[in-house]
Amino acid sequence: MSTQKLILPYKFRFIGVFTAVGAIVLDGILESSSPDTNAISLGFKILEIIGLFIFINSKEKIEDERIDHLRLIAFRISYMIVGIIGILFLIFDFFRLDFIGKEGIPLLIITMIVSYQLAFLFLRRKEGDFAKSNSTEL
Amino acid sequence: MKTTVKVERAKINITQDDLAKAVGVSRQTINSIETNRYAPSTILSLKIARYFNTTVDELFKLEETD
Repeated sequence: MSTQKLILPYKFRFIGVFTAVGAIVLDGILESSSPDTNAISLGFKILEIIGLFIFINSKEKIEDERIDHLRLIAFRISYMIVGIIGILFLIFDFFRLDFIGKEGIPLLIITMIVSYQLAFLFLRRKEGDFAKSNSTEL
Repeated sequence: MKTTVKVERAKINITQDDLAKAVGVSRQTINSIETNRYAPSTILSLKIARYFNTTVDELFKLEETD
């Protein structure tokens, strides 16, 4: 089964970036002006995650089966990283080393998103996707 | 897997971009197929074979290491 139907159209990339960057900026302004705004700050954090989630789940300009394949590899890498960090969280929790606190779950989600995007960009770079195009090659 | 896509392309004097547009993928995908970095799906293999008016068997050959 192709994942093409499970992914958002290309224009959603911009919506995702706009939402995430907007939420980060507004959260920063809010925190600097009044530090006692936990509920609103949490709302912005959720918006940041939603924006990033939309961004990574949007199509590339040219989305084909090879990109689909690279996405799968990137998700595998991200899944392994998040799995290892999740296990470490549990071990720390077992030994009562609660240094992550309530930030744990958003941190895991952001780690998943960032590690996926970095792995995806790395794989595309390795494949030469960002190299200067030579479309007339015979 | 060995492929003769590049040879077939040279025979009719078309670019990677032309082939990519004809079969509905990116130029980089054609490049990856030609350099054996990516094994195309059955559907894409059939589309490429149809474009060159040949068979998938002629375009792609299994190697001992596959």
